[in-house]
Amino acid sequence: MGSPKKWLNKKWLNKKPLLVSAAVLTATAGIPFAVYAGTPSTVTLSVYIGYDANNPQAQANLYNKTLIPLFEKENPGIKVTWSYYSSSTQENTELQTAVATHQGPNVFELGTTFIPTAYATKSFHVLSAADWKAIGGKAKFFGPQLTMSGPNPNNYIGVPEMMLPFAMVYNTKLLKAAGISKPPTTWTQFVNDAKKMTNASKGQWGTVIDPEDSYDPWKIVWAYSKQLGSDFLSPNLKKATLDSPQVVNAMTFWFDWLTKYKIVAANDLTYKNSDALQQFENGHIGMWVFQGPSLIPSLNQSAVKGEYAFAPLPTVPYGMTSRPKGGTPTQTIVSGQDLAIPSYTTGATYQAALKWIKFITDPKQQQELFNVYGDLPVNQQAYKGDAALNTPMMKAFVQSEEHASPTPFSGDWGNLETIFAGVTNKLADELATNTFKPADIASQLQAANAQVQQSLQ
Amino acid sequence: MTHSMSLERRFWQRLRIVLLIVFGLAILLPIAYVVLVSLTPDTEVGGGSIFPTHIAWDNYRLMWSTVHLAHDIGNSVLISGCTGVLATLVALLASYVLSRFRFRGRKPFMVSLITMQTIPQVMMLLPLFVILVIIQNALRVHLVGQYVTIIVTYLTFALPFACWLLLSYMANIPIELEEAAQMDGCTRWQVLTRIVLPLILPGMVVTFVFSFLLGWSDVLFASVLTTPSTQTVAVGLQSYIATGESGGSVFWGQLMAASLTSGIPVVVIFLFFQKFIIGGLANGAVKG
Amino acid sequence: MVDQSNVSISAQSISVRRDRRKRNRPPYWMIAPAVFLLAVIVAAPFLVSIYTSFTSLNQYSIGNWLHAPFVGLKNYISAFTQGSAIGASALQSLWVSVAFSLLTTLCITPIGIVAALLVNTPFRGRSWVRALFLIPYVMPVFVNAITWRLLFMNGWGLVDKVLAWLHLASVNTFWLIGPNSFWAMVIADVWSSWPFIYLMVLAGLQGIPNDLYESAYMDGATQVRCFFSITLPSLRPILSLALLLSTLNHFNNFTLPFIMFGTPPSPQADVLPLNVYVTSFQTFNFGLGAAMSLITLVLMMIPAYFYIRMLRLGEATT
Repeated sequence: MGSPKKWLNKKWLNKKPLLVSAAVLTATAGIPFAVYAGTPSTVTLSVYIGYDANNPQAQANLYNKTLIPLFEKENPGIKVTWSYYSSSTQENTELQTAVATHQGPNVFELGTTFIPTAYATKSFHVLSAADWKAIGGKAKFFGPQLTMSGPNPNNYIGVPEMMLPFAMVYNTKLLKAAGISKPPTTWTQFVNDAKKMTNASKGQWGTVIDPEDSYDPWKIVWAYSKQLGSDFLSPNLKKATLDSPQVVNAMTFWFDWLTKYKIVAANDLTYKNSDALQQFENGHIGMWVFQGPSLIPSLNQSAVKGEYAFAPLPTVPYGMTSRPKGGTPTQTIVSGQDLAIPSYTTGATYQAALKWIKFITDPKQQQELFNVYGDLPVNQQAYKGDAALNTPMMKAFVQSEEHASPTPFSGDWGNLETIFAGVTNKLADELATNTFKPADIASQLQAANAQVQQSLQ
Repeated sequence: MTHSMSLERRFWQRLRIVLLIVFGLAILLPIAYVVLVSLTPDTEVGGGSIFPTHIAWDNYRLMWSTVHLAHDIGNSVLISGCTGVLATLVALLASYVLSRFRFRGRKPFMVSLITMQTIPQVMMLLPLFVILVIIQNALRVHLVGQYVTIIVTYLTFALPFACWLLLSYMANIPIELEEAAQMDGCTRWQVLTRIVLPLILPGMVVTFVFSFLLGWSDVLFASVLTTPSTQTVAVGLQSYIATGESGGSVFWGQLMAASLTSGIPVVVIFLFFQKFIIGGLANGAVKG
Repeated sequence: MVDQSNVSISAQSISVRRDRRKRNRPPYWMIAPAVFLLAVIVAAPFLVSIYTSFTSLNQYSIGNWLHAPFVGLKNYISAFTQGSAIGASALQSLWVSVAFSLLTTLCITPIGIVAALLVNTPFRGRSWVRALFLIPYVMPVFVNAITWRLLFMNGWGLVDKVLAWLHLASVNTFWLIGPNSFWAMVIADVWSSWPFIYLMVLAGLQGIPNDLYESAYMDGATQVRCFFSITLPSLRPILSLALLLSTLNHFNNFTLPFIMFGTPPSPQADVLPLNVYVTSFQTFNFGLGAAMSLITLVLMMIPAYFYIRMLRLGEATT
């Protein structure tokens, strides 16, 4: 395979009348059209990021008007182009095709839980000490965030870009109306408070579940399992433990919200994250666990503006007064976005990619990202002197980050997430159609465990 | 006897009216609901009442900026249009040869045409990408994400059906005309352009429309083979649904407004060519 | 489909035959573009995926896919034996797909025929009705899928609201998950694909000579009788072709369930193309995905075989 840079310089496609009309079309629509022309001394760097459909205009402005011009001014000879993926499925396929063909973007923005999968492909640069120096050193980042960058400190492939610690968002008005003075810190209190806020006839519920979502359920069940002292994989990553009593207990507890405590609506069984959000925004939900700061822009445009707050997740399991032996006070997973450089990016382009990553993780740019996305900076310096980052709400998130646990660093984690989503989907199906038996939780988790185990070998 | 005939006729006329109403409702009700939702403010979608408290024309304004709707529809028109035209031309040439000549490999080729229609497209996605990159490296050109690539891909997927359609039209063109022309010293090319082409034009319109639709509707290949600057509207609309994934609410109102808008160009094309399509199908495909 | 150019060759004298043969040497360049495109865009990837189906291509080997470990028939065995915790197993999906494609084809056939008969004879406003009938088919599949997702939304979708209003079912009837999801998929697909049959039948009706009906009426035949003894038999060739095409298309329908349900869908709606997609692209098991596709392909060849026989590949028919 030839050097990946060469085809970037080919101009012949521009001669085609088709492409000319295409260029006209795109130009009139005001979209940056990547022109694959340049002098040999110029390095073209393409970065691939997630689309921000909440505020696409702000994202486009951030890259086109702020970040790229500044970077290109500071680094003459480097041209930066960016494109985006609209969904996690597209992120997946783009990564797969790039890895299979050794061609594609030079810098990938990847979710932290996706880094183990990326690492498994052996197609991303393991950052050397010199590379870290070029980026500005590991010390500038929040420590827990780096735990998802690679299997061990000598084999990091990801550089933290933004972080998304999770917490519990609650409706302050509903909490007050139910006579609750402060958000719960144990799951027993959580259930009791939720019962107080539930008023089915008014369509008002203590909390909400979204078992049809691909990502929310495993996070909640995983955190609860960690508090009980178990995980989804054994510490050496060789054995799947989805069928452990603690995980079964955690999953049962989650569905008990519907079946036993009646603190969520039966409608929730079809929910994805966005449906739950809609309910919360319409003021129907008291507390919603495992949500991050990226929700804030959306909440501020909704009916609950000014009537919501964040609190850390409860850390004592239901019916207990303290955590069992081995349990950790897990409040959030290590989550956010990392930047990684695929190994087909070499030479001058690789150096340019490192420069770009340093640029993006410097305090000023970190604040810019925060302003647009609402995700928190990973650079500790970025918090100094920025009022918006020092509100009580933001401090709650930063505290939560300190109790963040990394998910197991296994190349099969992505697979596990999908399989887990399949289990919650199936259980929700059964509940929705009244064919659910409590024993199904254990048997479904066992089947899932067997399937995960198969891919681990 | 005439009396009973008219009674019977009246019965059928009544039945027709009833059935027409049933069909009309079945088609229009879902569409009407979509129009309604497209005019509902986001905060009221999923609420208790079907009708919104006020009409949110804003959805039709905001959709142009939330996703790059105009740009994506433009891409779809360009890509599907080129697909339709090119598929028709390539299929015209191929079907002419297939219907007028016997040669070795003819039968295997026709069998494989049909086989190709049965290949699950999902299966082709990654391998196709790999092949494209191999070509890309060999020829030192940039293919992935270019209009050319996605057009060529759709064009090829459209070929089997296009060839099949045109083959049946070819069979209906009397060979004597062509023979006479050849006697008069016309070359093959002249025969094709002067004799066959005018006669097969209705068939070509049908082929164009079906190939166009194929490109317009695809989501799978477009999501991998296009970049944001070349993406089709089918991919563009996905980002509405993906907002939900990344922790935002789905803008149902805008999504429906954008869906309706993106459906309009195809509806117009289809209705414009309607007479051709029915007449064309009747003259060609059916009499085989 | 008669290949007239060759029918009468044997009757010609030898000299004429030579002359014709020279003139009839096919202009290969005309077919070359089609052959080239099909080879590059369809055949080559197809061969790659056959190869893939015998390897354990996954996230660990995708970076160097040419050297993915060879595992023989393991993927094929897993496709038939392995249960799946995600959605349906491959075997289950197969049944879902078969049931889905046969059932939808069965539903749209009478609807399409009735619709075509309705607008076959002229009446005022006929062209409007004809246009209206085409709309569901013309709307892009993804738009239809989004529409029906909305209609079937639990609790607030129109379907649930109407059913509750008629006291037929609870307003909380789940359509997008559980066993109903299969029916939701069938309904959505029937709604958007019946005009295909309608189009084909309408075209077929144009080809039936009017005097057939006239003489039947003279003999006092009723409309129903005419339909069964004249219309339906005349429609047989086009109809069977349309049915086969429709079965194939429905079997490979990926977009509709993909957008209606998202991934992973309920096992009851987990059609094979969707299952292959999740297996390959979301759990990174490309080997198994390719094996499942090839099994699909073999199955599709059954209707395709009849299809090929029906077309007779342009051979001379008597």
